[in-house]
Amino acid sequence: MSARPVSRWATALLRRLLTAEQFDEVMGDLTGRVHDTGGAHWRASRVTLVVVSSVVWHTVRESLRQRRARSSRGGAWLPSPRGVRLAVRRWKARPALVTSAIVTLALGLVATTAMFSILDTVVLRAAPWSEPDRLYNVYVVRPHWQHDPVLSSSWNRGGLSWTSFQDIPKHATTISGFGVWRSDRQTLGGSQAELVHLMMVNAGLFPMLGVVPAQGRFFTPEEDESVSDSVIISSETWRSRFGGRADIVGYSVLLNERPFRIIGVLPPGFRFGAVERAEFLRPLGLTPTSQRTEGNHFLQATVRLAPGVSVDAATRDLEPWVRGSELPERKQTTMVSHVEEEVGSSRRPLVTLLVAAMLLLLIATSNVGALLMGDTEARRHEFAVRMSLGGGPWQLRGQLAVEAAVLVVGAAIVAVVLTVWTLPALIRLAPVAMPGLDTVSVDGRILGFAALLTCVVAMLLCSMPLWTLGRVRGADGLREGGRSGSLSKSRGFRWIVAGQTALALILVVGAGLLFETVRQTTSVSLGFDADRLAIATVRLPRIAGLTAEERAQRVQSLVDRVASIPGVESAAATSAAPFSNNNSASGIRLPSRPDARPNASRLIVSDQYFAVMGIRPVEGRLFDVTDRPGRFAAVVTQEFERTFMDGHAVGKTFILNDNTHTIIGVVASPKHRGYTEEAWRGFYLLNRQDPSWDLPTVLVRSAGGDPSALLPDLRRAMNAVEPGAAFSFLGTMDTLLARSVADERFRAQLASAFGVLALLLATIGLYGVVTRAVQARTRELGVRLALGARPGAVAVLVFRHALSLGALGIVAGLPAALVASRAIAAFLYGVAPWSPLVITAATAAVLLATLAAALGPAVRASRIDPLRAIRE
Amino acid sequence: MPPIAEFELRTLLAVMQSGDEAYAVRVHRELEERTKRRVAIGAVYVTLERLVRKGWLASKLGDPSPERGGRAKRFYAVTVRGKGALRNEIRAIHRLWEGLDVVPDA
Repeated sequence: MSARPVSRWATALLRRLLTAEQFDEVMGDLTGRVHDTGGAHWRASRVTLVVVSSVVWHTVRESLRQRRARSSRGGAWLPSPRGVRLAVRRWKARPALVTSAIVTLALGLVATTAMFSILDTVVLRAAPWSEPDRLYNVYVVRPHWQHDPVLSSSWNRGGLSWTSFQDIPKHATTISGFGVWRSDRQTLGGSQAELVHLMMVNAGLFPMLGVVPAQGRFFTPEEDESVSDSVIISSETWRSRFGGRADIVGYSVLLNERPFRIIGVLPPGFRFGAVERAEFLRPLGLTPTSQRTEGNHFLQATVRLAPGVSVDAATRDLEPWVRGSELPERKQTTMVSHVEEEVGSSRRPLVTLLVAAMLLLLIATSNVGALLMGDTEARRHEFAVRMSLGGGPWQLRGQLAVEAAVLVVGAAIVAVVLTVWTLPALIRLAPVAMPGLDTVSVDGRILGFAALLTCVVAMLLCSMPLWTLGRVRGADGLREGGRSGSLSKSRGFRWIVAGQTALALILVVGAGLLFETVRQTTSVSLGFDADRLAIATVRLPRIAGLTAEERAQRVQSLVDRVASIPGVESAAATSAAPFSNNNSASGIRLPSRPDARPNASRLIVSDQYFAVMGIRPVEGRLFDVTDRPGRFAAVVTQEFERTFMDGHAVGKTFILNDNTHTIIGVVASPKHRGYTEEAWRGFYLLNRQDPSWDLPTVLVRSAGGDPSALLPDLRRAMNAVEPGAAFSFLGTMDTLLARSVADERFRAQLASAFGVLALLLATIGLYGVVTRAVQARTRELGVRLALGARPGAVAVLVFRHALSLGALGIVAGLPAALVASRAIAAFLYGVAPWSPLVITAATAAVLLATLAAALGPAVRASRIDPLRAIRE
Repeated sequence: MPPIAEFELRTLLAVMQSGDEAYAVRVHRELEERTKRRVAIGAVYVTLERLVRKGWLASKLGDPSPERGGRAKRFYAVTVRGKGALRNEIRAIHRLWEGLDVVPDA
């Protein structure tokens, strides 16, 4: 009788794993032992399981052990000092390859690391407070403001009133900290007066944030209510304005012509709330009693939720005290995460750009990968010889991996040096609107990120020989004499190159869309002549208590003085320059609708204003000498006319501050707040008649030269008339215009840099592949030429090969580019994510790059000497 | 002469102890009973094979039997070279023991 058969799976497994002899031996023994079990099925199974698993386990271990032993014969392949020395020596002999590989990789690494360091500083470290997740900004929401074109920007971001500030700490139970502040600009006295950023804060703000003073003390709760002469300065101000002197506490400064005593210094880097860092902080107690009313919502507030309290619960708890008792039914409360509000708007563009940089790094990596593959291919003969002489494949692969690793480490070192070097330049390019950008620096975290990236790149590149060497077999290499390549035809190369082209297309499309956004934005008509305009905004001293006429006179003497500067064509004054982020709105009353109080933007200008700005009346007239004080004339925009005056404004009136203003003229609505602003609904008043301003802006049009050349003269002339005038802005209209699209332009510039680099790298990659293909086909092309093919036809062959690769990339890249452009749709203006113009241009750029890459190889192919090609 | 690993030494000795019946299952049993330790059968196969490759063991096939599914047993014997390796190793161990006052209790 025959023995009970061993189960089928065990047989199959063992047959695969063992040699025929071993298989017979083990199967025989196993069958014998199963037979000895006497036929009990469970025992037979157990024996089989034990024997088979044990044999499998030990056989695999043994074969691994043998492989290791074989590989290590004749020198270990793991990164031994000897392997590294060999790799370095080899690369020294190939300086061109090493340079291009290191430069390519370093470019990708620098782009990615720089983007990460900006993201890290601006977004990840924007709120260095203790438990920032529990900090919430509190706002008053006024739903009825939402559709008011003037007030809509703040309908859900209203401030708190003084009463709320006093009620909330007394009644709220869901918060453990309460900070309120408002920012201001005041004149810092000294040899030359200067406007400085200032914050009024309550005593609770610092403990809530967990900030400890670097020197001295913070404000006391008493200083929230009563007048005190305490001021705290930022660490940066301490160093820049006071030379970091040790006895700073107790030192005295003049702010708005009033003496204050420095009681403390903030820790370095302190920045809270406002975009620009406050230099001086004063207690809230100085708030005049006139402002401490229900209706004056001038305080920004941030609270810290008590542990375990939800936002909703806190909102319900605070709501009655936030709404107050004046028209509470028209107000609501909202609480927004403080961190989200600080970084929310800058996070997405920065993350997108980081992704773009990573794509660039991917292209760079694949490019270097292709370079290394080509190098391996060129060394087929060497490897064939080494294999024939007993070099194990693992040893050769190991050496290739070490060589790749040496390159990557070299590139990483170059990249870190370059990042440290170029980051400041990149940051100078960046708009100031990204808070905290000035503190970007290369530190441990950035280096850690760079190291992580380097490891990933190294892993990719070092694993490359695992599959490239697989094709180089000892005998083949020797037989072919290392002349004709096969790798150039291989699929791997084609896909790498096509992939690069696709990635480059994505980046170029993105860059094109962002660039088109800037172009579309800045090409809208401004409604005024922005050329050759210089602008100076000053705060005049000792202006309180002056009559309207006296104020107007002081401003007019400034204007007259600057108009006499050589090179100045004309000058005027206004309460706010366009694009200066300075907008005031006023509630007006219309005779036709006496109970409504709609809002409109208001500018107070001198009578030369329209002439200087190049704004002409559409209807009626503009201000002139006949407009005397005591009466109230107004010029309105067409949008104002359309909204409030039923399409015909001249001669009609509106009431502002109980004074009846007569509309004398209408102008087309100029852009005031920004390029993308809808038609501006505003009106102009004459400064002689309504000079309620204390921050006049003087506008100067140069006679023909660069307006920035006028700035020193402008400052000197204005200081001569008003020795105590403090400048808050001195620059050109171009600066203001550029500043308003600085974010968009910065994104477009970075994205284009990435796009251009990506295109360049893809071109280089393509060039390498096409060159190699031409080399491999030298004999074939020679035969064609010998048989009478015209050189042009041969060149066309090469171009066609390159174009087929480029087209493959474009076909793969276009859908991806469309997906990617949808992701940046939020940053686009005036251009659709699928803009045919941009996509066509980007595709054309990629095709051009493809042709450029093929140009050199095509020329070389057409000049092949048929005789030599065939003989070789 | 390549070095001899401890388990290889034990397997060689177990083959000799098994005498004429030195096939894998028997060698395994000798190893377990004499060393009083659990030994993995897979390790025995692998080591026997390795010792054959090193030339320290020779193997020959016995008669096929129906209990084994018609397969022959593979018997192992220590070769002259194997005996030389054993001798060298045992001498080395003796030299290491020399003069040491750690008396085995057998």
